[in-house]
Amino acid sequence: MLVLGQAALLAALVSSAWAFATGFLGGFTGSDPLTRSSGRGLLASGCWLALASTGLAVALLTDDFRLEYVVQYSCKNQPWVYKLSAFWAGQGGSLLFWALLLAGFGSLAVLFARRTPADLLPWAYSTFGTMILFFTGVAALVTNPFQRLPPGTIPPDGAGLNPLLQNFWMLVHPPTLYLGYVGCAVPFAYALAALAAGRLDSSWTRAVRRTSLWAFAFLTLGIWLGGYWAYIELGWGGFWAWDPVENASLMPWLTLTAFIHSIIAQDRRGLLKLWNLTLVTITLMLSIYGTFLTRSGIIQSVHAFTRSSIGNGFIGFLLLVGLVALGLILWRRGQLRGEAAIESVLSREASFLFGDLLLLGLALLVLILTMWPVISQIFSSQPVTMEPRQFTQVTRPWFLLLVLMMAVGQRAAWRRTTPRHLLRALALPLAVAGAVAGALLLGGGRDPWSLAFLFAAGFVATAALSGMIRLFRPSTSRLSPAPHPEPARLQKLGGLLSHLGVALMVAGIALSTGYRREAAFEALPPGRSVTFDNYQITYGGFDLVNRPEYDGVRLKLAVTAPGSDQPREVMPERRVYGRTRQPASEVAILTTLWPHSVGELKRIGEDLYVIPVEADFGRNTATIQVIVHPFLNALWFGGILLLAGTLLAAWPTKAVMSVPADGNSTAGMEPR
Amino acid sequence: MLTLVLLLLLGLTALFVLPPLFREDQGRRP
Repeated sequence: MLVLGQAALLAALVSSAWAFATGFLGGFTGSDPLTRSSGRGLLASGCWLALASTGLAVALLTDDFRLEYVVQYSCKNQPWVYKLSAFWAGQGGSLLFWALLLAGFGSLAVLFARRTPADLLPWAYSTFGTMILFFTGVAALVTNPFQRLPPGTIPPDGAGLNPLLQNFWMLVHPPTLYLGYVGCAVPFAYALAALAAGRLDSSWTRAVRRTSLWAFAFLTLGIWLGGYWAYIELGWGGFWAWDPVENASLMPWLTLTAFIHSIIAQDRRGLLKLWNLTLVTITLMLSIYGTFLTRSGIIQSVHAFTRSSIGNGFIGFLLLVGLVALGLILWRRGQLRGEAAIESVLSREASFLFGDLLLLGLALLVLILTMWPVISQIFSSQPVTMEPRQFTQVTRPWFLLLVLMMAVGQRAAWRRTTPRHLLRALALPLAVAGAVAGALLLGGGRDPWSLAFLFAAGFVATAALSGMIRLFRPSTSRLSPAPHPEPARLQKLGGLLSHLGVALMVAGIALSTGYRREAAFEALPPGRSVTFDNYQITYGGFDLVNRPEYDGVRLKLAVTAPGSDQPREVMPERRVYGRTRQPASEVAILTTLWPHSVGELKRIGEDLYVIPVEADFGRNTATIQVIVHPFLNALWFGGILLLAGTLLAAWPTKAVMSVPADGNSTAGMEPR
Repeated sequence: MLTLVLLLLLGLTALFVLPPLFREDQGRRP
């Protein structure tokens, strides 16, 4: 199986090179046989990469310690799911995984080729071929996961997977994020194809609309899972630390968000063509950069589970992507003018443009701050790293503006709107937002940023909710005379649901970080009760836990929530894992989804977060840290809504899947 | 061993990707 896997990896190198070369020639000559052969090259690459991946998976599952990779990331007493997840724990494996997903998307493009204009196909295949060739090449020639240990040095057992990665969330977080990253390659391949073929109408944006939404959904879910994992597993009481690798997933998410919005303007009015091409190229570059950052260890990060020597190859490939796209854009610049003009600053299309600018600006800001340790070395001998606090301070005004824009853009009409109309449309959202922020102010909330973000969240949520009501109410207004056709209504509902989700997330982040309360209780003797923020916590001693993977201390705490008379038992654990003796905290979280009494309404969605700090075996005492996160669960719930909305917008509908012959056939589909 | 398996896989690849080249060009689909 090892030999088969290794041979399949090399065969994929040849078949992807074939797909690239024949696609390229097919594009130039317009030859259908060459294009078909190129498509088959992609299918063959998918097949061989699947075989190579099966080879590596079998090696991991059967503890084949002849492979260096298996020794590094797996061990005998690891549960089988974690043996399998070691596939993407290391560099060679994750690059193989990238290539496999890329070939999977490429194969789907071939299988659904009938829905795409024929002149885009050879160039799209060729782009897929190049990308698969690069990732397979690095996996096969630089960091080969099939690298064998010399005979005689094969150990009886492996080092095992990092214990922090051994949980359900880490099982699904990396592949989900990778699906999002690699998904960005699909719109990029078609963008490049549109440039090469000179077909710069909305046929390519229409062909990639749904795939881009799927990529966005996977990226969102990946980031959500990462934040949730950090919150429940890392035990420091937060969900986002502006860690370089977190930022690496946020940056393409920001630019992809801009892209999935501004292609609507190209689809509707033939506008923002250059923007869409730029955004999709930058999104792909940022996803490759994200992979590079995770895998290179160029910047110190909690995610730098690997160290590597692949940096130059990645920088070279990034430059190639950027230069090819830039060259093609310059070559076709004459065709990139909009088919119409933006008539007014107060219009839907202008708001998309402002949104694009804000999202791209934010992505660049995060990039600069993330790379600051590298950039600062230009004028300083010591690398300077930005603190999470500094990231927040620099980015939050832009995020605030962006959230406010969400509601404005949603209510502005296409072409032009008068200030009076827009104000009238936004009167209710503004009133509700003012009331929500006013209530917080009266309740004693004084943090200006939390107030501002809560205002913005209320603004967006009300605009989205009233939009949903309008969507399903038979309208008698002169402004929207036509009833919304069903597919467009689903898409629109998906968009509004996503906006509602984002509003909830913003409120959750603003309140949980602005009004977070914490305390530490040192050396509590058994039986001692303490009160914190009206939670009563009683310490009842600890148990020792011995498992094959770890040894731990389990604290027994009884917590009575405010307004309740029923104590609940929570049991946080302090663990030390395996041979590496790596310590980890298993925190306990008491969630109040709905408060026990009306007087405690402010505790909706609140978490009590208990971190076990220390246990004294001699005196039987324990030290704990307690944090109250108000409204935090709105963040998780809002994320789920955002995802549901995205999937709804990406749902296959006949009207969306067909490729109309002329550029105007969807006019009137999008409700006003 | 590796070389033999690789040659086998490459042979299969060729059998799969080459036939379209020997078919007549039916021109671009509209």
